[in-house]
Amino acid sequence: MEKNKDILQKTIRSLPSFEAPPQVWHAIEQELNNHQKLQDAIQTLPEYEAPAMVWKQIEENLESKIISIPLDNAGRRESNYRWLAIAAAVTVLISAGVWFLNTGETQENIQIAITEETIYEQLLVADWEEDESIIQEVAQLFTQSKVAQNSLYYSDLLEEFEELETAKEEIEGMMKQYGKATDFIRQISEIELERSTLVKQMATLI
Amino acid sequence: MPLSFRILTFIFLLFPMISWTQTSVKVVTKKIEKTFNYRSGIEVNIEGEKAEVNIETWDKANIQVVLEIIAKHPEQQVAEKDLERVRYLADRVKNKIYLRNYISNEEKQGTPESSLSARYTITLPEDCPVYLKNNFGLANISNLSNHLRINSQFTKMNLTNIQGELDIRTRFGDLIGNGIDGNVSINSRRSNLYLNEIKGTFNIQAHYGVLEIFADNNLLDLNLDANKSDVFLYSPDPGIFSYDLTAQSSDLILPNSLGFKFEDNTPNLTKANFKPKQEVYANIAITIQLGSLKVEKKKSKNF
Repeated sequence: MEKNKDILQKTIRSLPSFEAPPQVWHAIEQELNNHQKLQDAIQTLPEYEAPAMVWKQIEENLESKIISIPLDNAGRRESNYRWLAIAAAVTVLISAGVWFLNTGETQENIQIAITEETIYEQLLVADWEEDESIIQEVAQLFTQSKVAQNSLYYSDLLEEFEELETAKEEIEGMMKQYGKATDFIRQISEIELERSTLVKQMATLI
Repeated sequence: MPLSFRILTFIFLLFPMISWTQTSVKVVTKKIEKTFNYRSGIEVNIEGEKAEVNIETWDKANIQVVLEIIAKHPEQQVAEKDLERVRYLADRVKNKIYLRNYISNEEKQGTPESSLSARYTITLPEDCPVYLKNNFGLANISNLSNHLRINSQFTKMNLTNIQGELDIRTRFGDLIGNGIDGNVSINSRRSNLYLNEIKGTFNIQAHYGVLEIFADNNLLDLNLDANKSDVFLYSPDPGIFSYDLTAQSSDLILPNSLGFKFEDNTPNLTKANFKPKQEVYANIAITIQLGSLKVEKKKSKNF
């Protein structure tokens, strides 16, 4: 029993309280949302019923280990509760230890670093759209041309053109999400080189 | 030549380099480190986007993950704000360790002002199976010996000293492999393959690509189906393999010294085969359509 209960409570009441900023809760909520996919996957895991025999054995074990606490002896009862509390704490610690040894998972260590580097802005110029109208015009003429349609290569060339168009759109889509980078520009350049060759082939068949 | 003229020439030559506008950018890097215990049966599953993935091995029974999320912008505050667009996951669920970086759906609406990327450095035991899905990035993987699966798009891959089961699918990416030995399956589209000192069994399907393959004497089997591709098959001793080659509307260049037998030899279809004198030999079966195939005696080289 606490002897100076009033003083303790008064001190606790006088402690300053702080509200977490809203962005903290927002970040926690988002983090939880990110784990939703995993949680969904866990929900789909199959469940297995333990055989009846297992439950029976557990019951028998529990029955044989019931601790009797005499109610008429308050001192001994308090002592037993204390021992039970210690045993529970030890069990929790051992379980945590076993869990750690089993998963071996450490907490995430997060650090932020800020450095500086130099980039060449010329390398990030998106100039490939300049010729897009003429490329689309050739492709349209190609699809409309009877001569082209009768060519052995018509469907192959068209399929290839569409594949390159899709690839270019994918790169542009990714660039919208991750920002401009020389990797993306180089990949688009390679696609554009292939498209140029293809468009020239298509033009000869119109 | 007068000195003044030399100086003027030097300045003139230097001018294009000077005229390149350099911009200094702040690089904000969030580094996340986490370690998992390893035991047999655990697989590492990586899903990277705009990510450089480096996988190395060590003797410890741990899997160490270092994930760096990077934002570059001239203004630090902008880079810091944009960095938060990239989400990540580094968790274990049952026998799988999931590592992932991505842009959340709500963040996909706008475009960041910074250039964003991720870098994984994963160190694990060599027998740990790995599944890597990577779009728009780079992968450097070495010294694995169990099971490696890769599904990549717009990604350059460097594989060094890899053994065991390999299953690789690549679209718009290059694969450079040195010392790959095992049961290997490759499906590539619009990707170039450079494979050096290949051993074991290889099944390759390739569309639209350049394939340079250096076969080691310990090659067991090579089945290659190439469409609209140029294939170069090199070996220091091409006479030790059995060949079964089919070329449809394709160029076929073979070493005269081997004395290939031609079953069909028309402009549209060429079938050629060769059997070595020894009793035990590796089989090389190649079918090529609308491309070219060259078999040549040549020593291996590292790519």
